[in-house]
Amino acid sequence: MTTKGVLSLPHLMGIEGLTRDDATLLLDTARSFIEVNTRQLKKVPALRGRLVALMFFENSTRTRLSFELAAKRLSADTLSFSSSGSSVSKGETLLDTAANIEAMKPDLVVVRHEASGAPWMLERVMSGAIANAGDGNHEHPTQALLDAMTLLHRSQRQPKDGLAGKTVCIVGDISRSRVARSNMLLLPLLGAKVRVAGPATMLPAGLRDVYDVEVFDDVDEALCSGAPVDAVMMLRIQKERAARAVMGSDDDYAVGYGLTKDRFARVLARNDAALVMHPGPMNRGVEIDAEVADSPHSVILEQTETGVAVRMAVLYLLALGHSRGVEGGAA
Amino acid sequence: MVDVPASVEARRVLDDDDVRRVVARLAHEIDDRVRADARGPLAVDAAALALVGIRTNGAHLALRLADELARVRGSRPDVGLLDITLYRDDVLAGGAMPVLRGTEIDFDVEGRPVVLVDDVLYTGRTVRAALDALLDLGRPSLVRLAVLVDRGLRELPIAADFVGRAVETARGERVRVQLREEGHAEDGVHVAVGVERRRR
Amino acid sequence: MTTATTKTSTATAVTPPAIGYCDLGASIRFPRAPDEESVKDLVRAARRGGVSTVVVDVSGQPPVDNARFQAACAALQGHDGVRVVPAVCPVQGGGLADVASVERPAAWATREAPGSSWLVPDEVRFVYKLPAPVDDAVLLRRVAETARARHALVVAPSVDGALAAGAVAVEGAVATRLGLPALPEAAEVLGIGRILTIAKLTGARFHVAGIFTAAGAALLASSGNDRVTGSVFASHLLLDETALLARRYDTRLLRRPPLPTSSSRLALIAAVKEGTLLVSSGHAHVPRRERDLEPVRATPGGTALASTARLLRPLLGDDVLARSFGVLPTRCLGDTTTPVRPPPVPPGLDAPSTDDDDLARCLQEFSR
Repeated sequence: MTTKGVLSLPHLMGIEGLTRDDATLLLDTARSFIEVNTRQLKKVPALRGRLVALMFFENSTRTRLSFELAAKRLSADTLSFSSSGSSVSKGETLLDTAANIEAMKPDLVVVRHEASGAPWMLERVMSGAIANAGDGNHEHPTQALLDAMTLLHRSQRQPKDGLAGKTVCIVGDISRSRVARSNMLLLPLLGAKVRVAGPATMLPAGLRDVYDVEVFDDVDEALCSGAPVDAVMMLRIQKERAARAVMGSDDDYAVGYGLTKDRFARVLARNDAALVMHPGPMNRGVEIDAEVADSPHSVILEQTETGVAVRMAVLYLLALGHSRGVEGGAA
Repeated sequence: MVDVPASVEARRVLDDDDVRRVVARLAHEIDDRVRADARGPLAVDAAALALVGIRTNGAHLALRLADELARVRGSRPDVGLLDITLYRDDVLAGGAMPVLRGTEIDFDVEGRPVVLVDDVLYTGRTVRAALDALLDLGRPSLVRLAVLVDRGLRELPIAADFVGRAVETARGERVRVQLREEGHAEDGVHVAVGVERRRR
Repeated sequence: MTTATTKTSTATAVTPPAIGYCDLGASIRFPRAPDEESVKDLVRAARRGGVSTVVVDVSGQPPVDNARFQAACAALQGHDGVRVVPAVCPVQGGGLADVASVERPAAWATREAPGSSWLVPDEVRFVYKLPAPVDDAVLLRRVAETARARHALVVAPSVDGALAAGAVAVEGAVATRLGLPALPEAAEVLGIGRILTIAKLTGARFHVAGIFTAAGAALLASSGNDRVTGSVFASHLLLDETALLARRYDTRLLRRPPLPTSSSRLALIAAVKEGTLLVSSGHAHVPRRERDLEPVRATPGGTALASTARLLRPLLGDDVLARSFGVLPTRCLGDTTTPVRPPPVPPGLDAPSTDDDDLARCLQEFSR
């Protein structure tokens, strides 16, 4: 049972576990914050005196800035910890760091880590509400929420209407993508049909058992068969590891699985309002053609703006639940 | 904390007809006062009058007042709806679960006379929060306060400029404002014995 | 334990228990840090678990000259009624280790130390243990040929090392949902296939430790080579990968190889009951500082020696347990002289001893 106005879970570990009501509440709240972000004075006192710890164990300037701005616009104090794994090699473990930060009693903890499951480790030693800002290959819930927000906005729908009737195609390295995992949960929860496409070695085993998605290893079939696609979400290819592990070169990947001009033209031929999304940062010319990325169909910059409002909603609702002792489980 | 059922000991303060008449009177008072302010040393721009209702009931009342003012003055003032949830001093302190509905003010409040509208004036904390929220949106030339019911028991130095009905109440009592816009069959204001929900 | 009485005489006269549970799958770190398990701790755990013979190797990066380890094992021969078989690591870097120099102390520890003359000289003189998979067929062949020439049993991991690198789960729904690095079950078919081929080529004795898939168990059972045996770790009979979902990212559930799928687990239990698969503890103590890390960084493993028999008894029954964790592993070590009868149930076997036993503690928490 969801108490109206508050999430059913104490933390945002992922999209997994969220109810449709939770998702609607998060997106509705984010809409209110979009209004705040259009004001001249873009700040509200809701979290005045609360401490938000930003624990970024992986380089991610964009997500960290987005969360930091979100916290500041809610008048919270922020405590920023960044490391790129180097302090771990100096002997300090994740739990050591967590214990140090916990001593400052943060009300909210935002964590980004290159290891799947890191937020669960923190949950055991920290008392604040935890927001997962991306863990390994596992989940990146705020990215999925802002993707959903962008899709709703572009189709002029309210969060409660959901995304029924929409078809979204996610293309790339699904296996190593936390953005894909969160979207494969959230978009179907909101009623959208989701297709995923990528080279077979980038499609993890058991996809269909876990997610309500259609799976393709041929990107052209995914994009141009069945119902017309409303949005194409291109995932970033980790140039260093993934592309080479699967393909001989970046060009091979672009030809086989990238969103080239030709490929996108075929998508537009079936639906001239189709959108292009990308969680960024982009490899222009690899997974996405530069012209396609800059076309009016691209919502990539808009996604960045919506991100702050979504993260404000996450922080605000977690603080609300935390202050009222929302417990875990399906209570 | 269990509320005593309202029907047991509720006394009616305003009935459907009263509410209609009180809103009409408030509209006239607002109009008179704005004209006076325009002529007086403040020299406000009476034509620029805007109403800002505090969600939820204040917003309904602001819309009703705007309709009345349209009749009285021949022109309908701009109406904005203000959500003060994010400004409440108790938003993270327990109590009733706040529901964020969003602020909808699609005009610039800068330099305009604004009348803030709410249903019940009690401790004054809601008005304090509303002033903060309003002033974050811009700098009105002046702000006045209109309320349907003033139940006393102020905790802050705040007073209403336009009062529909002043009612003496005790701490343990609740003032329930029912408006048609919220699905009630008729308008009405009741004072009921029961543990108050500390909101105002 | 009936054999314990013989221990009261002088050290030279100690006769280890003729039969008891026999564990082919424990490892230890040597030299050890203060928060790591000592050989003595291991012997004590074996005693508590009713294990009278334990093959133990140095995990991680074994030093070539592990004479000190062998001496430490020798010093504890027959202690608490437990005989310790120190395994020799036959590889170093990318090549064959100088096995002769480590065999000498190993021989001393297993055959010439007081009360430990029990390995049958012509059958199995040494146990070689590969601490990690050897994918290089040339090197594996050299190891096998050396083992054949020197009468050694080679205990080897079941998986292909390249496919298993970094994996903490089996590819499939659970790993996909949790975003964990995973290996395909085929990694074991490849690994066992390579071992069977080399074993046939060389005639060496192999024991494949830690089989975790139905396909791997079936491949081994169908090989028809009685010089190659295999075992499954206790944790893999008691838990399957769904435990990872139930206790999100609990690093005590990280095992190498990873916990099996639920269908593989059932097939492994069946294979043990049929007698085609042996059981071993998979005991490998992991200190807290390596345990309380992110799942992909934490060291897999866990202690299980003290509770292996107690936890498996309800699942397998006394007879199957006696065969798979007693008689058959003893035979693997070439000890054919030992009378075949179920090992006695050691006192206190039913009493939980969870303070230093990860597997027992995990299961206890699960049942709550």
